[in-house]
Amino acid sequence: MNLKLHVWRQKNANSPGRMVTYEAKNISPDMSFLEMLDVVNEDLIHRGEEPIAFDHDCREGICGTCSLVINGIPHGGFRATTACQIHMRKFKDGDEIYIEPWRVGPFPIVRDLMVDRSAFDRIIQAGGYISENTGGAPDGNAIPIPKEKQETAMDAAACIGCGACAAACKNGSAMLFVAAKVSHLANLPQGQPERFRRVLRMVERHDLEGFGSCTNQSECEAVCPKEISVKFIAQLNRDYLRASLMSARDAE
Amino acid sequence: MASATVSSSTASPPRSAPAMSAKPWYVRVLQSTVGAKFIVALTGLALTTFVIFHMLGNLQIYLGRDAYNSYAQALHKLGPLLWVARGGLLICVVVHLGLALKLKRRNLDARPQRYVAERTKRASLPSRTMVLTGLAILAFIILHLAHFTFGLAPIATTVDDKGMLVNYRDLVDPKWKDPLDPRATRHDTYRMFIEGFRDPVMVGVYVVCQLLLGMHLIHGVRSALQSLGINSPKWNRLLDGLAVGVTLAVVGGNVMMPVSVLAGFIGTDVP
Amino acid sequence: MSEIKLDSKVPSGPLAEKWDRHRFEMKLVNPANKRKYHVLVVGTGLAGASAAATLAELGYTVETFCYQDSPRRAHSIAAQGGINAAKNYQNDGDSIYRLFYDTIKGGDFRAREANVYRLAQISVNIIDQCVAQGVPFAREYGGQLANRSFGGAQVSRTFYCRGQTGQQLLLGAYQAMCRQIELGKIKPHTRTELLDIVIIDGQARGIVCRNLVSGEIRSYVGDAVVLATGGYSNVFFLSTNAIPCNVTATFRAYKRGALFANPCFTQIHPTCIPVSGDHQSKLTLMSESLRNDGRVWVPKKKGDTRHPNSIPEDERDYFLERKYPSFGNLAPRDISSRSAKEVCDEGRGVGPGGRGVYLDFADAIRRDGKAKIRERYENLFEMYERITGENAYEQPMRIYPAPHYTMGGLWVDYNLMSNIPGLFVLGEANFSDHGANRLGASALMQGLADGNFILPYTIGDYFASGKKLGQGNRPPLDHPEFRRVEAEVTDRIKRLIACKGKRTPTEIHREVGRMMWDYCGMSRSEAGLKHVLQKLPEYRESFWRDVHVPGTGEELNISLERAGRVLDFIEFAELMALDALTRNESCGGHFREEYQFTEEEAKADPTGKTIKGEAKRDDENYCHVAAWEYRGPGETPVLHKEPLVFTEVKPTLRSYK
Repeated sequence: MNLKLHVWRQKNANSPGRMVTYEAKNISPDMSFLEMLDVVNEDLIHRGEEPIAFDHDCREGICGTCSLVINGIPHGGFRATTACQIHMRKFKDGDEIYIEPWRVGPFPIVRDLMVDRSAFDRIIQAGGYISENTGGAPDGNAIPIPKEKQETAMDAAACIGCGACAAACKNGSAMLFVAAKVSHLANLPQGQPERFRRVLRMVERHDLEGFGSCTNQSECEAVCPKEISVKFIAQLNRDYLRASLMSARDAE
Repeated sequence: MASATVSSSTASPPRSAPAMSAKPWYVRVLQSTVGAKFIVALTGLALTTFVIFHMLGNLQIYLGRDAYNSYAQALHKLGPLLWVARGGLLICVVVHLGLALKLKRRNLDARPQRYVAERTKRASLPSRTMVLTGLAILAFIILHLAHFTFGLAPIATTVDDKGMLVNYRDLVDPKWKDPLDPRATRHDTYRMFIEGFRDPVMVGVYVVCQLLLGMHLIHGVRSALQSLGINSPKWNRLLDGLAVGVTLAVVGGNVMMPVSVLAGFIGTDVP
Repeated sequence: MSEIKLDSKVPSGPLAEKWDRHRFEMKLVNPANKRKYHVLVVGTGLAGASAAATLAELGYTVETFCYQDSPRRAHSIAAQGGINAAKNYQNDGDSIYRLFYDTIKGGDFRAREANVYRLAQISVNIIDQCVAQGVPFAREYGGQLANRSFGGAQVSRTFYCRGQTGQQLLLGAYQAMCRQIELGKIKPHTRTELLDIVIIDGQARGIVCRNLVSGEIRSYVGDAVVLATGGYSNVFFLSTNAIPCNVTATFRAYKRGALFANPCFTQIHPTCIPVSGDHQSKLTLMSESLRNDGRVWVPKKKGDTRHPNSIPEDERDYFLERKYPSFGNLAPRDISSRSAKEVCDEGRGVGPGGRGVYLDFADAIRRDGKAKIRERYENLFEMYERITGENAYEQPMRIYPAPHYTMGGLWVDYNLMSNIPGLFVLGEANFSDHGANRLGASALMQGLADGNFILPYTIGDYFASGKKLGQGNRPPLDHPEFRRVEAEVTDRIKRLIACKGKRTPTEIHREVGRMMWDYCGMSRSEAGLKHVLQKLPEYRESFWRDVHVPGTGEELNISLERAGRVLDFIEFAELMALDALTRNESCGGHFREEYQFTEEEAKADPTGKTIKGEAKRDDENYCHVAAWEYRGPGETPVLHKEPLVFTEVKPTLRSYK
């Protein structure tokens, strides 16, 4: 099939960008979306032009690197699917496809469709961990964890940190990302000692990075390739409330 | 297609952040996105509660002039308490609006550039227009206060039995035939209500504003609960129902009354 | 430099006491002095991230480097199935010794005994550490850790987090690393690619990197360099590795004098989704755990094009169950892969191109119900349907083997240090623990063992051993050696940019990769390898004429990145083919067509364990690690042999029958 692509091209963070139109010819329905872009890029190199830079790594939907807004929706809007997992059989001959980078203030554009998501790393650095040095850990079975709790923790821990939540949010809020990590650890006994300090610090860093505030539109949940539920944002809100009201020493 | 040329934001994010700020805890809460949302949610729920009781109280219009005027008189007799309540509402409105606008501004900064092919998957129209419906409600509140509370002349004037122009605020309950009876100074709130909604344009404005209020509530109630951390798969359907119920009740009640007046179901005793 | 003497530094004493004794004998660095030592950790996968975090916890100062935009995205994240540990929680007869034995046997007796035993010992601590870090391992209703069985083992010792074990373990290590970043002990560099290693006075003292965003070439100096840069499966172009995974770091180290061990030991994973066309950029693996419930078969008849569901039971060949009755569908990876290739070569393969076999869940669904199967494998079935458009609940999956992991890597001693002092190599990048074939769920185990529990001790011993190291002894960044290597790196980039040929780096990679897959993949022959060794130098030459790299070196340039990696793969492929040609035996993932059991030999074996066509190992001549030394461009590398001495186990025929 043949497609018309409108792709955001931008040389680097400091130069202006624009949408450029490309033709993608002879695309097989068995190709993945990124393979379709590979074909376009090969063609561009043959013509002596610079290929479209886009982030990708595992191409299996687990590393969270790919970050394309396809026709206005991060990862294209297919259920539980990252951009790299989309196959071209989802499109039809003659389709026009708009491909843009994540648009969130704290994710500056690096080049073309690549953005800098280091803000997410800094949010985790603020407290998204359990302060446990290597060695000296008790036996793995020393503390039983109810299966339901572990499943809930795992639901939250499934976050791949791709940033689609923030990219989809009309408010540029990354609350689903923060909530996923807060809830993953808050649902495990090992996460309890730092539970309240963690939520305070991670929210503070989230705000400092310049992300917006959550207005509960659930657009994040709808685009999340791992289907992380906004119920975790409610859990974050609860924990934040409790942490704020507790005496300073308990919380920090 | 149109090529959009936009320069990207070049502001580099902070490379390292200071440790937890040393500000007092309540300042930190108010300044954080999550804490500010609590306050917006709490004030929103308080205002919702007011709106519900305001609607329920006004339903007494169907009980006739005496009942309605007695109700209005009872409220006025609360005296200082009334002012406390009004003050509280004012604070709620100011805080609700102020923080919401502050967050909105932050949110606009967090999303400096829209998508060329902007599209939405789940976010409902009401959820995306909270600031707009909120501002419309503010405008409506001002109109409503001018209309009935402050008696702004151009919209709050009618003609009395003697053919004289009279302000809504000066209408007197005709229950007591003897004008010298001390009770005969009771305000005729009932007539004000009826007269106020005989103008189809005004009723139209009220109905539209109530629908906007409904949009605000249908997202707002559920969203406030979520902001307060109330979200559990076990209870969510009930909570959804609660939000829809509150919205339908408020909008339904508030639309029904002016429409009843305009249609002549009530107020036939007012000439 | 042929005077290189391979000293594995395996401690003396009984096998079970070696590691304890070694830990006691190693020198320690005073806690107050640790901050004076600076470690450069390249690669932030499971091994690199856990090493960086643990070293920083101990007090060393650490810098990390990764080409990804965040350490959390390293390819360890893609491991699905699980991580082994000899916990024996299931009371099914597991023990450290059994895990050790399974691993040594699974590796076809081509791994170092002491390393493998240590790995099995440490496996127990890894699980505890991960649980403490908040890794949400699957649990039973009673709250205890759950296990499942995995290929190559008859006990349930695999711990897992749904189908995302690698992700959860990597996030645990990444989070531990983040904590140290916040504490100022780790300085991370992302979108930064190592392009060379700097050796001064015989010690690894630094690295030269390219900032992938700005194109800046910059050197970093340290007291030790740790390479945890993964494997080289992408030498085949199509593999289950992420596309940017490359051999550059380890190959550059090789060119600077580090020995490359057993490069021909590559693993082909049996349960991948078959290739669908020429456009394919990578292959997708589905967890081997599918083999717990799926039955592998092909039609008995050649060229049978009927729909799988309409092929009657007696016309199906469940070839794994037939050939290996005791392990059946859980036979180790190399054996399962090769059996699949065999039946496809016979013309009984299924799907487009006939390169595929069925993995059938019909029996399991009948036995346990669809709901149970869905609970176990939902994400995998979904992934399969997304890629192929077929519903595996209704019809069998089609699978085919694909390159997945490389057991070969830089040669390291018991301390995980290469023959270059100060150059440590961890995880898949080293050769140490898996011999000629890796068992399922052992890669994650090795990554964390190396990073959390081995390197942190052995690096201290290196620092404390009296060499001129630490603060004040580090060479300045304008040391002539740094300048020289930087100039070489810059020059190479300039030359690549100047190439204005007609082909893209990807096209050349695809062509070379396919050749490697055909002649140096699942099975290898002398003639084929000789053919490859003749063609590769031509590719190496013509690359500079043919390739086209648009753009400049001073910007983000994805073609330039790819070109550099492809060039290293082409050069590396020669070494790999040479190793394969030199190893005149079949063992584990290395299958030489000349060395397999004949029908007569199978019949003559009174135990009945010999199977026709099975790998024929030659313990007399090849029971060694083949470590290759670089001798300059165009020169034949020199082979050094580290003999493998087995004191505890006796190499036997690796039978899974």
